[in-house]
Amino acid sequence: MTDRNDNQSFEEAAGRMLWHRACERFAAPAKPSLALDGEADALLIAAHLDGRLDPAEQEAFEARLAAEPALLALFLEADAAIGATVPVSDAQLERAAALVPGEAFEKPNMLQRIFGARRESNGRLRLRAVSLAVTVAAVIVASAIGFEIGRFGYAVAAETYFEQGDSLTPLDGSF
Amino acid sequence: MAERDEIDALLSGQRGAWQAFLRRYAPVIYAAINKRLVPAGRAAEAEDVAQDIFVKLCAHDFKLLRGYDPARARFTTWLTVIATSVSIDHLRRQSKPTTPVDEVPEAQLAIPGKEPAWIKIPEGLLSPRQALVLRMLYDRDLEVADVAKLLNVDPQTVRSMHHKALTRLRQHFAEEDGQAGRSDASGASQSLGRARDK
Repeated sequence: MTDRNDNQSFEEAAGRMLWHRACERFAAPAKPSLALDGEADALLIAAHLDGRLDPAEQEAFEARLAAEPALLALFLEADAAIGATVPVSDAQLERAAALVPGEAFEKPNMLQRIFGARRESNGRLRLRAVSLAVTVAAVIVASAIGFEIGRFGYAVAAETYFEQGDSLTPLDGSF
Repeated sequence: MAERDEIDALLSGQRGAWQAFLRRYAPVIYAAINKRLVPAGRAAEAEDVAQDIFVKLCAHDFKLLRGYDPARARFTTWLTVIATSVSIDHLRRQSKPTTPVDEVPEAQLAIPGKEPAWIKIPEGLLSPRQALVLRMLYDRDLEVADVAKLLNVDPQTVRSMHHKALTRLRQHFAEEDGQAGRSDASGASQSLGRARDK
């Protein structure tokens, strides 16, 4: 029995040495660790854990697991956490709920969509409504100024024509 | 309400959907976070990580959540992977703030083992599954039964793959060593020959 155990541990040590030699011999440059940006990887790991990869995908994924220590670590950690739940307090839920304000789920009506009349939680009018009002006011003021300048220019020109007896004088002579 | 309906309600902007989502899935998210943070002695940071995950799920009109495909995996499995990934990144990114050494548990002061290397096994030497078996057994110190469960195969299959993989590696290195030995020997005899000619 002891001899058998000794043989097993010797074989294991020999296997470990061989594997480490392979790792040194076939070492490849490390890529950045897996972050959440790898959304496709998250779905791939989940699909593997649920046994939903087809054989070709499975082989490709296993090759990546063997090559990328960070991906393997995430895979094993996720596997260990599958199916677990813990109680969450109401206070924790409230804080999480506050991340998405309720009004984000209200569908605005037509007037609200045009004028952005809904109020933010801090009571200020939406920026969209303010910018729309400023734009309309600016257009009205610019039009009024333009109209006045035009009227003044026409009056000056007409006065000159009267003095010179120009034929362009309006027939009725009035402004 | 069914899982799919709940997600659809959230994505379509129904009132109260976010609260319902939290009530149902926050326990899953917190469990995955605790699994990573508690052994690292950083359980107090669980809520920060949870908030990070919730923000990621909601950001850009639920872009991350829209990336989930129910045909590929169960929602709770996908959520667990996301929560685990964010927790790992959190631990990597934010090293623990200065704490007096006396207050840190002894287990956490242990020097971490060398990070396993990235490898590229030459094509045809080992199958991806053989390489993965060796990686799991020797780098991650998993038992044969655990590896078998992860790969959804019989433990005997794992033992067989392990044995074949080691045999292939042994052959490969024996050939490599033999070639190196021969080239060394031929190099030495050539130099000897040149010296004799002189």
